[in-house]
Amino acid sequence: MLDPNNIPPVADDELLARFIVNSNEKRDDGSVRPNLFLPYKLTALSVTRHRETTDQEIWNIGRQVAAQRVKTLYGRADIRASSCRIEPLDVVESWQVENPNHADIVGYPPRKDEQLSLAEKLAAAIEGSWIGTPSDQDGSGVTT
Amino acid sequence: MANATLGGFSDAAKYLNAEAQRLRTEQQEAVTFSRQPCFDELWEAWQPCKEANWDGEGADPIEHETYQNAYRLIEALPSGLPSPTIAAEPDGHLSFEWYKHPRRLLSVSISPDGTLYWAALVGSEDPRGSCHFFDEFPKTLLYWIARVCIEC
Repeated sequence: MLDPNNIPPVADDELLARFIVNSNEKRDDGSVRPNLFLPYKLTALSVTRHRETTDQEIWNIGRQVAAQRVKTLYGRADIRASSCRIEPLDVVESWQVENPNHADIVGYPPRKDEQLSLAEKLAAAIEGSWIGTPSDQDGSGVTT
Repeated sequence: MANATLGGFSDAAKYLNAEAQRLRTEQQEAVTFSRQPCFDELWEAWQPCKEANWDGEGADPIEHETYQNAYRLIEALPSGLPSPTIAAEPDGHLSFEWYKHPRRLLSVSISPDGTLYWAALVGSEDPRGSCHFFDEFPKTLLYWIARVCIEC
């Protein structure tokens, strides 16, 4: 995990994880639905940086996120920071005590149709397929 | 002339009127039947999201008015067009999606007041906008459904 006392800015080539905690945020063909990248109330969207983190640590953070929301962790979608930096969006470090690798996709406009359009582009830009939670035994997860 | 005959009181006119009504009813029932899985999906999307915070992150509830608007939008969808997939959104809207692949889709978000917010992604084209739903399916959306689902 990143050192909380030395959090670097998010570089363009960094991989970011967005956790899937609602079944309607993923599709059977391995893609994700735009609603995975729709912000609500806050005009920012939480992601977790892969930088200096093991896969196990990423999944542990995902399990914490799901537990806090009393939801099932279905998996995660990974996306490059550069793919998120489409006008007017940006990615900024936003470390938290429980997750020093936390970052936010910021800059969503208030109009719903503009948000939908950006969410469609982010959903189309994930790296490969969404990845099922390792302990997922029901076969619904897509592993890469 | 035909109208005059149908409007008359002869047995033939009564028969033709009844037959026309029967055909209209059958046609309507056929459309309704073909959309039944879509109505079922709408119901299933709505049920777990009727209470606030259904997503564990402060989501607004999906109000009955939103459900009704979505129901009427399905009813207004012309036969022959594919049904959307349906999901709840945390701002209390219901979303309809027509999808071919990640860069060929149309998302429509239905609000409680009947406003439809939409965005399409078709290759490099990314149109979006909003309109109000007044029982007739918006022509702009028909165009983009065709672009997403039918056009090669």
